[in-house]
Amino acid sequence: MNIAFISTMNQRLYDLYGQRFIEEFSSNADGEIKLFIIFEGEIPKELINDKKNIFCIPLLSEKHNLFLKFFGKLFEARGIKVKFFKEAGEQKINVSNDYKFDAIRFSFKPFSIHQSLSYIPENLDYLIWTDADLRCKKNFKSADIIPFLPNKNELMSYLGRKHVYSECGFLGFNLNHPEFKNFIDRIINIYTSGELFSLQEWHDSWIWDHVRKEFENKDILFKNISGRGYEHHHPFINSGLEKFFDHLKGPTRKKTGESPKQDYIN
Amino acid sequence: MEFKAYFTDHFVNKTVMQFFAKSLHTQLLHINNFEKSEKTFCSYGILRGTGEAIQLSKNFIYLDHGYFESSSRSFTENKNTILNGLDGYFRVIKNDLYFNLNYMNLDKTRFNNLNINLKDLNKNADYIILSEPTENTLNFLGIHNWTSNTINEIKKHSDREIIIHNKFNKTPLNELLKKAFAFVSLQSTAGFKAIIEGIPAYFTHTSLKQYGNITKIENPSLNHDILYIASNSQWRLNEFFNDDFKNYMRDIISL
Repeated sequence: MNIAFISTMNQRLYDLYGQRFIEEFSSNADGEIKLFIIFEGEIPKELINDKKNIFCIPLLSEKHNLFLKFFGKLFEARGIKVKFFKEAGEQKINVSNDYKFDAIRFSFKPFSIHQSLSYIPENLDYLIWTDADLRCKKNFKSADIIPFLPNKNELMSYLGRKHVYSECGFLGFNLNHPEFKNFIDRIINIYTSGELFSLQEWHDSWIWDHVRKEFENKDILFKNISGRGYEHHHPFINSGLEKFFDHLKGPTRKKTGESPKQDYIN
Repeated sequence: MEFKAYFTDHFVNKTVMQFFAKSLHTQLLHINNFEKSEKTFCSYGILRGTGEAIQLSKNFIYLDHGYFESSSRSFTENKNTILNGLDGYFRVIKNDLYFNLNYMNLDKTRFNNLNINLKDLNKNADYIILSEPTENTLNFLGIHNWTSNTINEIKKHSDREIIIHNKFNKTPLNELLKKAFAFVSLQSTAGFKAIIEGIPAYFTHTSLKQYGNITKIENPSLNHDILYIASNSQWRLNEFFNDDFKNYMRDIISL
């Protein structure tokens, strides 16, 4: 089985945690497993020739440019809510931010996955999305990852959560599934058409779930790999993936560089 | 033959050379670290030091945009290039910037996969298009009088009107080709487009003129061989990982 990983970052995220992720991936992944990084901005020189299994590609997505051109200037599309109200006879304004509606910030992931499809080797069987705030804890090879990937008749593996939207820090795509291309095209179309603004939430996890359910309604199979993490808010590190990885969800974990003990189900 | 691949600070070069070197498990160095050696020099483009390195190298592998379905680009009025992706074809050439001299792979499979419709010889033919190379190309090859010299050469063999065209012309090439009798260039890939459109193309560069020589300009014929060879000499970045690409590299190295 040929497996590759895909992620995205810019210089700021590279400095914060991306560089560490790449270093750890490079030293822990079996040499046959490639990591493709869609990089927004100037690619750091050390990534060009140092790491043999890391391929950096500039973010050059016509469709993403189109999406940003249409919606990038709307503050609502960045999750900013402006509320006018009167208090003691005075007109006041309240400006707040809600990540669930930050369509722009969370658009880089789907468009990066879409872009990467033109660059990855033709003989790949699986493409795995991971967020760049990933820690690689120990050596891993393809056979270690296979249990977390979709079976032959399944389109994608994902980390489902019982009470909220899925945790999309890990998505495993079956590139040989006959509906894979239609699935990704549908995701991208939701963005470029503006349809996502008709949905309940506008972040990418919501969109992945929304389109997955559409396809499940057409009897296309998906694989929920959360296992015992399904009822937990942090399924990534309770699914079995924690043997090899840690996912630094949110600012606190990024600051400490690890998920705290209480995140793990005993 | 051993390779030594080099990258510059330009994002296209960085990306292409990264794929080239890592897929072939070849050493990749910054152009500032270039040293003349017996190893085959490999890089993309002729700017930012690579052109000088090519001139100092006995053998080199040159990469640049492909002949057909290259990555989508647009040109601004102030001569800047906007690139919309790197997912198109790149030509990979040995010891030349434009075409593999003596690489004669006429297999039509890769060309046919491009779904290009080859038109018959243009009957509505009037003038000759002379396609000017870019300033960078003229300077690199030291052929500053190419345009006037080539006009003089054409005039020895034809008295048809000559229309000069370059990439900053406002009249699209497609429009000009409609009534073209012939297309003359140093090495332009637009010559391949002309052949596809049914216009015979002629070249002055050494590695290409065997496929269309100006002396025969008044005896028009369409040479499709050049199209098949070209399609076998261009590769997408994702194809760099394939065995077919590795075999191609082996073939051109042995030329």
